[in-house]
Amino acid sequence: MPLNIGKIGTFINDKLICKPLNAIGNLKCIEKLSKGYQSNNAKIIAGVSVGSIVLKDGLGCVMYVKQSLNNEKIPEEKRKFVAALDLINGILMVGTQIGMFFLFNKCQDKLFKKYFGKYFNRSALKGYMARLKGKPGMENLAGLDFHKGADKYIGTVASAFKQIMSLVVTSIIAKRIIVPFLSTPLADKAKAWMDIKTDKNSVNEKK
Amino acid sequence: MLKVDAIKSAVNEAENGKTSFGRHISVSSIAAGIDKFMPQSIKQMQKVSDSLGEVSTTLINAAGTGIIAPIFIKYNPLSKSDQDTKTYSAWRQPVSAVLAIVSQLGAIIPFNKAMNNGFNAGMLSDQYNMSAFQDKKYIERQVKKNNPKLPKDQIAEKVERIVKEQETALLKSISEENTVKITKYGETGTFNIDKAVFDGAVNDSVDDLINAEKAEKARLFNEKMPNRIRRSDFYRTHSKRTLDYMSEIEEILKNDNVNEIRKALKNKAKTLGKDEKELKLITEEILGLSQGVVADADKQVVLDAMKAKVGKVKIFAEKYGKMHSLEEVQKAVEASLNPRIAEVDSNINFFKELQTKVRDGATVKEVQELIDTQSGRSSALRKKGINFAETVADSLKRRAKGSTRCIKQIGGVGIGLLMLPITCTLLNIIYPVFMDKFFPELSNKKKNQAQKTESEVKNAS
Repeated sequence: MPLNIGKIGTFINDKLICKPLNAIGNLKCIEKLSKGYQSNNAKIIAGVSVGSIVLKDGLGCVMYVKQSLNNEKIPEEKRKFVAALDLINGILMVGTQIGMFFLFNKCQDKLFKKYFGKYFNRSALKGYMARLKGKPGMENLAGLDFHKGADKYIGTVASAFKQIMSLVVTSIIAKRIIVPFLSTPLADKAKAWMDIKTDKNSVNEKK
Repeated sequence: MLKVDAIKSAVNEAENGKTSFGRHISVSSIAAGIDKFMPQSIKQMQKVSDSLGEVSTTLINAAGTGIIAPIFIKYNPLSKSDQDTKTYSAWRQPVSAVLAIVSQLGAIIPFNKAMNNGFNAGMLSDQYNMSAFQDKKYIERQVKKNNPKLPKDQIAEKVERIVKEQETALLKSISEENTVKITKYGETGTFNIDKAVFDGAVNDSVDDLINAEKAEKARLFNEKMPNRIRRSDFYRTHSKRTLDYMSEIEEILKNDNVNEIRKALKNKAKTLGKDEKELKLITEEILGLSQGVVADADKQVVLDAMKAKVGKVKIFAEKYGKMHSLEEVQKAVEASLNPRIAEVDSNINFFKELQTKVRDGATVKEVQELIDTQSGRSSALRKKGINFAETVADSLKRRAKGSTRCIKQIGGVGIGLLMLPITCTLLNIIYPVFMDKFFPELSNKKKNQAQKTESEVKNAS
């Protein structure tokens, strides 16, 4: 069934999307990532999602630092200080998100089991199978086939849970709750240190 | 009936539209059946699972920025800034979140759509080519586009027919031609899928068969064996108590209201002593049979399953109650599980032979013939009823789905990064305008503060 997207659409698809993506897809690292997606590996899929946010935060941090260093509305002697604060904030954001991602990875299986395990234990599955067998078209449902279906279902749900929770833990809890509590005292300390330095400099200049 | 014949007959049935392909009930229809027993929270996770990607990442990140961040900026007890400054700063976050959603998703959503069309129309390389097993949604869009006046029910019918035709053709080309016939955008006719992609799926299929057996062997040794020994020994030492307890449970099961039974079983479990953990576990297992949403039509099935479980426990409690030592129990349990372990070992050995044959270039048809011959000798394999072409098709679909999802997300990350400078610039322009318009007081105070600082700086210099 051909897809008609017109000449411009074809050009954009061919040259700007398909060609670069085919080239990217042939990279060894992307092939490895693809294998993770093929087996619905939550750690890899969530890792890419968290990596995406971390990359954007990192790039955002570089842009803020650059902006602060060139911002003429900020007095020249304070520009480096403001840029340093932006840098601290950026490093904290990136660091805590990566840290929390790896920390959460260690307990996500336990969390899933704690909250949803009762729906997927052996006896629950036996109950579902008995109920499914009573449905039209499922009378001859074999145990092996049922378990294949159940494994697929559980894998999908567990993977979704882990991906969503990884994002919530990193981009909400780490970045939006933990970082402000770390960056505020750090900013105060940095400000105090800068004030002392400025005072010393002005005393030296007067001398 | 040999498997090859079974494939042919299923192809005929599918072509006639009588039934879905294969004698097995498909994995996806079983998964869909299980979904009906699940609470809403799990159903939602299942629903969003496939669509989790750059869009959901951006949305969750924006939720953190727009909803959580302002609260922690405004009410951060460690911050020494005055309330107005905190409020002024806090409002930057929701503005930033809205801009991120608009600018990033404005680029990522059309990109994802273009990608999905590309995968289904065979625009990208063969590993992403889904032209032989297109998405139902894509087929539906194409049917609607080509038949704009067709009524809804006929569209649905046509879509179903195309899906079945594709499935039949896919299995036929895998089993008979040892390849998959794909189409490529802008080119006429069909092509054989790249050999490396096809061979990869075939190799994966055999590897999956081996890995599944290995996992089963590990489960038998690490879970089933110790659990069964522990429980059977409990039956040996607490046979009478178990039988009495089961009689009490049977009384509870005389009620036909599943909710009341669940409540009574939970209360019953609470009365058990510390040395009766095994009975608690058995009660939980009986309870588990009624887990999830139980429809009225399923109540009797659930009750029967619960009663069957109680009956089984009674039989084992009587059997092991007659034994005199743990060693005797261990021997009996091992004897009961050894045939299963032997079956698994035999399957592993056979699948390893298949692995070698596949690596030496055996076709799907030849592999199926080997499976059929071996099934004649081994009941363990016969029970599995393996349709190798179906296994390869599943593997191909899984690989394509995973690869397309991966490249789509990587592309989305790239687009998101490209859009970031635009989002930042927009924020710098829109945020002061937004504050001037909706919070002029806060905005004026901020400006006055800034001017004050500027004049102080000038005076000092």
